[in-house]
Amino acid sequence: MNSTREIITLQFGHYSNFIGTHFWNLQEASFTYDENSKPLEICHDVLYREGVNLKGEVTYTPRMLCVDLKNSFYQLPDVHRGLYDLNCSNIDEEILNCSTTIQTIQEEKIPSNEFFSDLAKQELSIDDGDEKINIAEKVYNLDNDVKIWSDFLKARFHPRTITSIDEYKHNDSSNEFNNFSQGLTLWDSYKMKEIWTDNLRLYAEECDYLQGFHISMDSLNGFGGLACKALEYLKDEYSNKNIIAMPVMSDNYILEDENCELRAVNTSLLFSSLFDHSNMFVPLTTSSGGWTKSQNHLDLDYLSYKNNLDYHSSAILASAIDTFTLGYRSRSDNDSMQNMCTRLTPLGRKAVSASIQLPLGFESKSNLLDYLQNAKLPLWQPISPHCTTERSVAQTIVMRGITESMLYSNNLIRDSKNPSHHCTSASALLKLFISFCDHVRMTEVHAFDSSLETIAPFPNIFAQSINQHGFVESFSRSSTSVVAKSTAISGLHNSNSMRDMFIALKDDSSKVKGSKLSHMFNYGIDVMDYKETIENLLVLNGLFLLTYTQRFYLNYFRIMDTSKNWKTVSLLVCVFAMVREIRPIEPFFTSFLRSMNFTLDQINEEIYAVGTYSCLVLAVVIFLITDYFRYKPLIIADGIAGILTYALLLGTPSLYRVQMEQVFFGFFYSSEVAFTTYLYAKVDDKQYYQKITSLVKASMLFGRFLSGFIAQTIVSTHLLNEFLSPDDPFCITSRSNAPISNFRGGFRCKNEYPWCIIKFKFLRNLSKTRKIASTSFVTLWSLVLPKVEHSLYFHRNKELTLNNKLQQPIGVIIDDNISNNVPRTSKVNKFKEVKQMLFDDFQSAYKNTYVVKKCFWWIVAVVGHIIEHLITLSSLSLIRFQRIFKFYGKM
Amino acid sequence: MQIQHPTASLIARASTAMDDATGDGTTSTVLIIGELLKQAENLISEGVHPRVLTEGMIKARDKALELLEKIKIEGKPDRQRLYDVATTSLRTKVDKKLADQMADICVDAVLNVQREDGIDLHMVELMEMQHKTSTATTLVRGLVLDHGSRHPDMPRNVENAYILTCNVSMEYEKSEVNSGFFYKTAEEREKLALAERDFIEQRVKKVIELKRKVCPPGSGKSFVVINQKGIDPYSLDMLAKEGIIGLRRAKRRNMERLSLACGGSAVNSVDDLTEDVLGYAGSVYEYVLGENKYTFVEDCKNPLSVTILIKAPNKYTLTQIKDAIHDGLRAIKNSIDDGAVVPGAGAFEIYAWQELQKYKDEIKGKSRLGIQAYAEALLIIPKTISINSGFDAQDMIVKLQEECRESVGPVGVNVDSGEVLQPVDAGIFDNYCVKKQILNSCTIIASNLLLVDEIMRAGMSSLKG
Repeated sequence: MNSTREIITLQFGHYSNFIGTHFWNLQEASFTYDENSKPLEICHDVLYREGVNLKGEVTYTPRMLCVDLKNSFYQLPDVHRGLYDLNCSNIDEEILNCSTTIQTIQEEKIPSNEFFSDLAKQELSIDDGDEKINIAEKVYNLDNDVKIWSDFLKARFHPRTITSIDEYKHNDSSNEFNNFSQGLTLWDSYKMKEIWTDNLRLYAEECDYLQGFHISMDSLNGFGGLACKALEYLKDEYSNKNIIAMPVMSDNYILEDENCELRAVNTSLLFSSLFDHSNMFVPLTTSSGGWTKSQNHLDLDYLSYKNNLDYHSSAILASAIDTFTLGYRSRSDNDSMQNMCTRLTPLGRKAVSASIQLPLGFESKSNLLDYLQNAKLPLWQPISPHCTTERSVAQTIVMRGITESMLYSNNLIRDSKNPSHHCTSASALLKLFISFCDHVRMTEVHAFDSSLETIAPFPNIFAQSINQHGFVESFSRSSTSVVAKSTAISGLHNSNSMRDMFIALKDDSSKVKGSKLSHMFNYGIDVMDYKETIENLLVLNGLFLLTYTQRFYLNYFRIMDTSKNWKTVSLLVCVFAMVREIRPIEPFFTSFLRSMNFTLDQINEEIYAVGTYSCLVLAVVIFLITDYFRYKPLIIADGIAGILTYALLLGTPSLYRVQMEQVFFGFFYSSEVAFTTYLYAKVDDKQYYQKITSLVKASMLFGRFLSGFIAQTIVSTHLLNEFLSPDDPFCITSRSNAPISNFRGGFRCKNEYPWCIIKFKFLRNLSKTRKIASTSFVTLWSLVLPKVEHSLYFHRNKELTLNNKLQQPIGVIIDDNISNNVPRTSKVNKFKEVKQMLFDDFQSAYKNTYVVKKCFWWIVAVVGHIIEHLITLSSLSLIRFQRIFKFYGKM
Repeated sequence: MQIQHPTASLIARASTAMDDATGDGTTSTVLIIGELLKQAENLISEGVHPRVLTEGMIKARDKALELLEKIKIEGKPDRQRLYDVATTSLRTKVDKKLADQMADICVDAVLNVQREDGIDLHMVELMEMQHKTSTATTLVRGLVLDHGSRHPDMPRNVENAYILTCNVSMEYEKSEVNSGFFYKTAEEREKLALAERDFIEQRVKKVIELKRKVCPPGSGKSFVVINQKGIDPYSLDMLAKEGIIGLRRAKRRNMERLSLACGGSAVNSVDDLTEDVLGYAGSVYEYVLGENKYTFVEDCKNPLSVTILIKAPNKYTLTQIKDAIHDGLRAIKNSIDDGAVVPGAGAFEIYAWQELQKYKDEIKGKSRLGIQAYAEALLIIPKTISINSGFDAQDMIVKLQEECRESVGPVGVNVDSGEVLQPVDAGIFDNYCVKKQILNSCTIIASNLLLVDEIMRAGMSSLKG
């Protein structure tokens, strides 16, 4: 579409306005008033509106609404007047209407700083033809003069732009506006709910193709709450528009511990609401701590700024915003806000971190290729709290100030095989470079010729080695010259390190004690609400943890970080396999049953037979079931069967019960196939198959060894007799963590392993029933039981909620993927296909000599194991021995 | 306003509550509570127990309420009476000349929106226009919208217009659910985009269809679409070709007002449009003022919603007039709701003082001190009136007391001459419910404060809000 896609900017809070002021000043600086110059790359109409004042003059003002506290900005200096003021002739008429005399009181003028007095002089000089003061070339030092944002505001605003809140005063320590819920309440005031929304509507009414909103808010104080309500309103009224939210955190606040907690609470409340109401949100700060005190600040090579000065830090953030939004503000129109949002927020991961490099350490007369080859990595520094820019899933990089002529040096000998020698644009070269040095899957790169216009009132923060055009020079800049332009690179990254931010935020905000919160709850936030928010953060957290899984089925991202992945999977499966094998009762099972008053005949013919046959039948079935249900349910069922096996043995089991137990045991035994195949399914790369197979086998054998060892130790040492007083109820509590869960055949680890606490509580009057049995047996038996519940259970609730949250954003893509892998056919066809495939596999498998050989050795090994096993049952008769032997042989 | 002192903050809150409930009487509340406490202070310092004092005050209050019933002038107020009430309220806020004009406007506005089930003042829209002088403020029997059509070819002025109010998006935008286009070629993408576009086009076509049905060419009728959602230039173009005026992003509250002013009903979907949903207005025209456009929807058949168009040369005057009109409207609404008015100019207070003096003698014991204090406290109203108009308070009170004893009807302060006047003849009336509210809440607040043994300066947090 060729038309302008308008954006409305909303600013809430003092620091946001600091950033906003720099931002609008930067915009204003990039205007050209020369009709003959070539059209600008940047389309200012996206952010600005054209209007007519009552005098009929054309005005050009930002399409922006900002909110700040009373006294946080002065009556804007004289230069701002006049845009919409009327002549005073009407007032005289009004005076005539009143019959009383009028007294005039003139307010004392606020002394303006050096910059503004020059600006006023310049304006006068245009009228008088006096000598001009060139503001663009003069060096200003406003560091001490700037206290509030209107002190360096050059841009002119429409009268409806500024809303001042009368309820609270700026820097008023007796009545601070530092609480999220204060903001929520404030929304109901007439000024916000009626006037502000009406002003917004008037802006929106003017737009032909409103594409969305930029909304920045102070996240550490009450403005978060206010912005939150405003977002709700936007969602309601302008439902289909994109909203990019930028919670900003100043690096300059009085560091008190109590406030620190409050800030964390405010931020977490805000973030969780942003998750619901915005399309994307980018936390911005120059301090790596964000809401907490931190020693680490943004450190850029060619910048020397004071981090405790809002005037400086906001300039950097404003440059970043100006740069990373260029993609959809340019005239070339190759991107839109919606595209960027969708690209950067896959699967509902709405939190995005930002980064900047200002200026690039680009030497004058150098070229981009050389610069990139010698550049120190990473090219950019993060400006989001607790974030790094590594491990990104998707990113957008915007570079500015590098023109096409700076791509290569003139005497470059072009190597036809080197792709980097044949890029036609800066963006192509940069993209190529990023694809070589970074593993980020989705990178969108933009490059623009126009550089950042850093003339006053942009603070003078550049290093001495930067020349007037923003390039590195070997000699230092003279003290009378200003850096008028600067190169910059800025990016948005959807990286896994956002997770660190959420974890830190969650930790900090859940630390807060209830008593301290009570202050908050005075203003209408519920304890329940708050807890929910913390939970919500956990979910956000979960979203960012998901990525390992996503890499599996989302080849969309072309992520194959298998080197890390197979290790985790196999480790988890190994642990599972090992614990599963610890069944100390097994070697002594026959003697245990004997003690239960079963005869040997019964044991061999009615009990063991059931087990063996069920094992045979289930082995075949389970393989298919496993495949159909995609492993995971089977693994769980396996665990449950394990528990049931031993639960059934509690008390004095009847024959029927023991038989049932044997069926479950068969199931338990044969579903071994489930987790081994699970492992193969999980790890894609075939090169690891041997490794993991041997690992799992080893851990199983180790488990078996442990179980035998424990059993034998206990039996021979009568250990349990010592601490089991016969008449006591015996209570066993055991927990086993099961870090495996499954989501649509996928695999996920969770930060918090669902603990599974199973309480086996059995009352057993040992002395009465056990007198017949040998003491050693009792010991063994009771010990065995606690060992059983090594199986997995899941805290289903938690997982469900998580799933629900996830389902929605993932849905589309996953469905798509699944349908790609398995062509959608009717069920009947599917079964046919499966049958065919099975048959094919069967054939090919048995033709393969390796497989046949393996089968042979396996049989021998198993038989050996059985023999050894049976020998332990010393009292078996030979015939039965043979029968069973035969049976195993057949298998 | 941030008030730190607990007592002051309590009084301020009572005053705010007063404003919320009746829209008037805020100053009186503060004055009377203050005066009650002042009177009580004298007595308490002489050793009267606050409990006894409050007992008397409550008795006095009950008596005063009785007196209020006696003095009120009942009957459904006619237009003149309402006008008098409005002028009484407005003259305290704005210039006399302006107040009289505003009173006329307010009365007309309220009478217009009056329905059987009561009066909803939200149906009186206040529209500001920074233009001309404040005396140019007018009442529009219809609606004034603060936006205009955004297409150069749309008519600026139509008559006999059908009004369609709707909340239907007529712009190409991203869909409600998260989705993406999946396409292989550029053509495919074009096709998909076109299909999306077509979807919106269908909606506009349905509106046009209805227009053709109800306004056949030559009938002299026209069609206006007022949409709460956006209308993009393509759709505007389609509408303009048909001679339809299309307004986008109407204020949410105006949707309700529109259907009340013009008839018809707001629709949320353009499927199954019928003639019943359309409203009617005699004339619709646009007025441009700088960059602001105003659309007048006037000459409605039976407007149940009207607009007061406030004009003033500057922002300050606009706000002042707006506040004044708010109060005026509330005063009129109150008197219609009460079905009664009370003579103003301090008449009730003087009368109550006199009657309470008599009542005091009937009561035995210390609680008569409370009644005495209460009666004195009420006098603060006529006192303040006379001080404000530049006369001596004591002088005035004495005159009033004398006059009150002799005259039959109620007497009040004449702020022009400093003499005594008959408020009923002069047309000065107060709201019954305001007075009643004041008597009730002031007594309660004052006695509450008196009964507090010790004021605890609680933590700062509890004082906020």
